[in-house]
Amino acid sequence: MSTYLWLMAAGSVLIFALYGLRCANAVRLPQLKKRAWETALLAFLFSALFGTVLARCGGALMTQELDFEYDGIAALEQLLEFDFDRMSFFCGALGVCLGVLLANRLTRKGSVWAGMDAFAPFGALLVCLFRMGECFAESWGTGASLPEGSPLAFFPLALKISSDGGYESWSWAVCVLSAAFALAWAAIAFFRLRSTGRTGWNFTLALFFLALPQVLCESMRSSGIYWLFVHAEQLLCALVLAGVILFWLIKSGKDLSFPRRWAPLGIYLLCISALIVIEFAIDGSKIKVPGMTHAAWHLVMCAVVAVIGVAGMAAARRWNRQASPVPSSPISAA
Amino acid sequence: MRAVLSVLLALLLLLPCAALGEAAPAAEPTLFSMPLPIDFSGGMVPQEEFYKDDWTYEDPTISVHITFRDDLSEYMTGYKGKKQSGAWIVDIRIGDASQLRTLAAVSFNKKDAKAVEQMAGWVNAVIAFNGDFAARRTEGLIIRQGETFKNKLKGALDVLAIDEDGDFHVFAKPKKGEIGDSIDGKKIINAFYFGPILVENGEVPAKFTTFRYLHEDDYYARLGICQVGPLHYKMIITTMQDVTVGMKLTDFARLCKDEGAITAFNLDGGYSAAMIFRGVMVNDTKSAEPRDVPDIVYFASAWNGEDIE
Repeated sequence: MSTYLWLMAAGSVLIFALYGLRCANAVRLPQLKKRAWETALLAFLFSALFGTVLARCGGALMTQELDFEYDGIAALEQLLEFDFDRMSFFCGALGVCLGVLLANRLTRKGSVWAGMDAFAPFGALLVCLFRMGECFAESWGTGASLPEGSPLAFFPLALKISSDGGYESWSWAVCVLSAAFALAWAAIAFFRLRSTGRTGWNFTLALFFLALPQVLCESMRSSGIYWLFVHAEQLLCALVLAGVILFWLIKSGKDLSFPRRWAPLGIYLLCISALIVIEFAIDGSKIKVPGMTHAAWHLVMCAVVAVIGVAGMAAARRWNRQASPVPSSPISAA
Repeated sequence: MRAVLSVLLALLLLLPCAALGEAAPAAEPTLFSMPLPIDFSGGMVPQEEFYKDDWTYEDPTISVHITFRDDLSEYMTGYKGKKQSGAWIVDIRIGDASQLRTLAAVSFNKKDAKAVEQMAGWVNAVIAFNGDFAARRTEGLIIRQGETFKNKLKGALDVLAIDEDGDFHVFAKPKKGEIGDSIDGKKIINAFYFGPILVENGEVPAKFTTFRYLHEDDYYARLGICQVGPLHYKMIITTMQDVTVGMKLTDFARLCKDEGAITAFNLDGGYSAAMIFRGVMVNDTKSAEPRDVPDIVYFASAWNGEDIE
């Protein structure tokens, strides 16, 4: 745990320093440069606080581990136990976003969303960092076991896990896949999306495209917060996707017919239904298709996730088109 | 005349012996007590020479005999389909209680799951089964290999505790503080939290502690762990394939009782149910791929080939 914590702390400081640097580079006046650094510092402090608290509290709610009837008020002491499997990644990410939002609100005069847009690639980098950090979190970021002697049993494809009794095995490094998706989005956000689109474009796209591949990754993970066989974080991914698509659709297409306007949401709901069916098929208890292995079902899931991506992108473009582009400079509204 | 009388007398003396020979049950193997450490290390490697046939393993410390029963129509109450039910009955005797062991996929306070075959291979299990999935519950009692991982009983499910002598003790919906770390001065080595109790004192309880995922009235794959005598156990696992169906819970309890169980406890069944012998899964549920599980219960050999004269 300590290696993990140190790595995450050092990596977070570095990423927020880069965020500050980018904000400072975007302005010329020394006074604004100073304010940019203040924003980054406050964003770091608030994010660390809110991220940790929400991740732990969200985890406690999702695992339903606080049992006041059994433990009385002493149940709250469990909130101070920061095990990997008692923390919610998505609640932590929400805390980080709230922290950055609050920092921007306190240090800027105009819309905070320009600041959130500027933070989007750094948020993706944070996701990448924390997902890679799961490589040091025992078995937390892993998926199915590899057969003994598999030629694919090496990092970064797989991680070695040690069980009670010292038995070692290799499992798929799902956390590395999650990190790769996040890194890819960070690169796109840095090099393709800068200064394009309306305010909020970068941030909402980042939310969408960070949550999207995680639908697949959460399904592949063998650890996590479960409600019986349901991956709680996968449900949160789906909710984030629904929320972002709804935001785009509500804010645009008012001149379109009902079917055309809400088609992306319809496609999303169809895809989510398909994903539920696939999850049942992977579990094998309700649905069985001869010859379909878990890997094959995950390939099908990839295709479904891609369809959600296309539908979401259509909604995003429509929303972006229907307003005159506002450059998303991090300090423009200051 | 004296010779004839002698022969007749000898025959009279031999008659009871012959009768005894006919009536005597199959000799129980004499097993040596060679304790294994109470930790998460495995057992000794099963030796090929002790596999008597495809379904039997007998070495100086453990005997495992597997039979398949397909004559189970009397245990199919109310079933109107065309499929049959079958059950694997595994008769297990061990020389020492420490040969009944448990292992987690990663740890008993973690939710990770792995294939039963893989875990059985790590610990050189002669025979292994899935456990109780307790690591994924927020409440319950998890004592494994003498170590307590969780003791948060809320009167929801039944508990099976196995003491240091390998004897079973069952508790119906125990509440907070009802189970400590020992019973009658005997340390609890393993405790399972699932149930229900299928047989207690040789009788099927009038009522079961059930919960939704037991599918109590469905014809379902089930796994029962039974004690039939001192260091003598039976594991019973019903099939659920394309051509067979499992059993209702009440019928399964009756089967356990009729197989001689003094105490029997239901472990996780359905698509988790797994029995591994000689490194392969013997039973077959309908899953395309066997479900990974967080823990196993297994029986190990303690014979190291050197210590017994």
